[in-house]
Amino acid sequence: MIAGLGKAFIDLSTPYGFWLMTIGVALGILGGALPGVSTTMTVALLAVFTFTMDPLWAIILLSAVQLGGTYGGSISATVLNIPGTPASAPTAIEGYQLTKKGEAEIALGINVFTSFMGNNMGLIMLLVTMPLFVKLSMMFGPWEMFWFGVFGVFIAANLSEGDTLKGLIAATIGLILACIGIDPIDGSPRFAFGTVYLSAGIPLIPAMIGLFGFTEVFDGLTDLKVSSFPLKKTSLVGAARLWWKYRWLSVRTSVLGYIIGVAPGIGASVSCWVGYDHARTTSKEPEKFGQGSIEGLIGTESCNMANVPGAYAPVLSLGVPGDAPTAIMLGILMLHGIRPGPMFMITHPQWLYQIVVALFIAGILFVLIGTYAGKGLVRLFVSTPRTAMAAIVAVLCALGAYATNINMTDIYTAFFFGVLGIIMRGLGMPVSPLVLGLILGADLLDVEFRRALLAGKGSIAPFFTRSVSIAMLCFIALVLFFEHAYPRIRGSRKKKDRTVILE
Amino acid sequence: MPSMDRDFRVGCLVFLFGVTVSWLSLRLPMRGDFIESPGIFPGLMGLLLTLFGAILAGRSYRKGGRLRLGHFVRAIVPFFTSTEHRSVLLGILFPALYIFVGVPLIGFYPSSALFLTVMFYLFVEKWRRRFVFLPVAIGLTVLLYLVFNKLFMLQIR
Repeated sequence: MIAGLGKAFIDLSTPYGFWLMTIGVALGILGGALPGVSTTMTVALLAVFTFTMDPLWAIILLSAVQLGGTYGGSISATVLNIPGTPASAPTAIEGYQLTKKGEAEIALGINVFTSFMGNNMGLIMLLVTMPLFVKLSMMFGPWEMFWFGVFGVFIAANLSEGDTLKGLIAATIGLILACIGIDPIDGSPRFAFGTVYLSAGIPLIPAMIGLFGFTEVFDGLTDLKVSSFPLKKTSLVGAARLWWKYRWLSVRTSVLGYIIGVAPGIGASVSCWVGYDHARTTSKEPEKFGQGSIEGLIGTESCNMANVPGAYAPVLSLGVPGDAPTAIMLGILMLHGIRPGPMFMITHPQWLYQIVVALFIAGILFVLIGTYAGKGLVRLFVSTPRTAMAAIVAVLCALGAYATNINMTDIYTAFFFGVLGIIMRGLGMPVSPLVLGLILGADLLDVEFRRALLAGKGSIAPFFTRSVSIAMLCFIALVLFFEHAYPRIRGSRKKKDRTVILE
Repeated sequence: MPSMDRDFRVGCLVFLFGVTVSWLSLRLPMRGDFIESPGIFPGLMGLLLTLFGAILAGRSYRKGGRLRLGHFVRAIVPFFTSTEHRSVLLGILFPALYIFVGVPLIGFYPSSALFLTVMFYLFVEKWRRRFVFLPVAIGLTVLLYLVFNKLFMLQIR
């Protein structure tokens, strides 16, 4: 392995290789940071330029774009409260609160450093555990994927500060909204009320732009008391020190992110919430969540970034893409006559090492580019009056919503969700579970539930009798016990002990 | 008490929404048994929502929450006239005019330039005094055009 990595490092350490990776990371960061231009879109746009390239360089360029884009999403989430990608939604919750407190540079420093470390940990796990996890993920049928989605709903409920019931209500509304559109199994329209637009379903990016970005615009244009946000300056070393304080959280959430990345079809948009929830439940200061929590940022970003290497495992060993950008890469490989699969890693073992080394170098490059790009953006942001910034964010929200599908109605959807976000805030309902409900409902819960029923010929028994399903159920039960029941039991015991001492 | 009233009203609304979703799910076209039909998942979610709505309403009812529609209706007029809420409505009105009137009528970039100019002129006194609001608005719009239309080759008009 060491010899393979060394050879890959020598192969890639050419001026052409560095130039390609720098371009990839820079464009990826820009694409990820711009609302509406997702990582997937940037990878797809640049894929056009790779048709004439050597397949290895093509994949290296696109993997650098993917890595840059995954990090770039957190820049706009932190500075503007607009998640550039679905995976940066929890970053918007904590990062933007830190920006409001004048700690935008700290938040971005944490994002950069945690993402770098998360990526590295994901790469180590990719090298060590790839064959094992791929075998395990192949044991997952629609029943287990459904339980995974249910686990996500419980995470969504946890995201509501204080009131789990309200979180569950918001998540269920999100799941119902995600059902709007053509049924993915038999193609019949659901809740579209005869409109063409609704037949395509609620678009996720415009909905998120509305719920996070537009609500902030309305807030910025109405709260005229705050003229601009303060700024505390920090260095990357300061951010690294903060990361070191929470290093074990970063390790745990990186492992979680990698495992979710290996399972095809789940992706970073779910794993970021898993990392966020893990950080919240294990935190000694859970009250800081939603108010600008460093732990929340670290949990989200580690999980988010470790997901990227995880997504390569099923592509390289099975030819099954882990997420949308790796699906495009698979297409590019097939265009060049290369078909990854079980034999691929035996006949072309060097590919794994070269991708690992490329992602590592790209990680160093995004630390350099991301730090300076992020700092520049933060300083520009804090020196701009808040009402002016709100107006600029409004234009970016509209542009981002429109650019997703080049559809005018998407801007109206974003605006509708912005107003919905304001109303939900007023009614004391949390917004984040609604977003997670939309994500889980669109691609996971509904589809897998129907698939499972069809595969089981209408029987719900396999949900409770398959060995992997039972393991998933036990896992969910354990998590729920430790998150809800155990703290209460411990609390009541402490109370009893105190009463005995007082008596 | 008002927060209990609010939760009670939200619970009732959620309950009604859940019932509606379940009813609409039952009316979706079926091919074979309902358990395999497209309405099964949203129907179940509707039922869950009905249950959650009932629990929320019941919980707030026990704590003294009531519907009190009279209070609610009487609070609507002050909501629109109070200074705080008027500014909220204005904050929504300007972006709404830009999105629902400006963009469809004159296109994305001209309406964005116009919206930014008006917003900077009205709300950013420092920029108005120095007369930089116009170049900043136009410069930003041109930058967005270059990034989205030229660099990322998106066909935004």
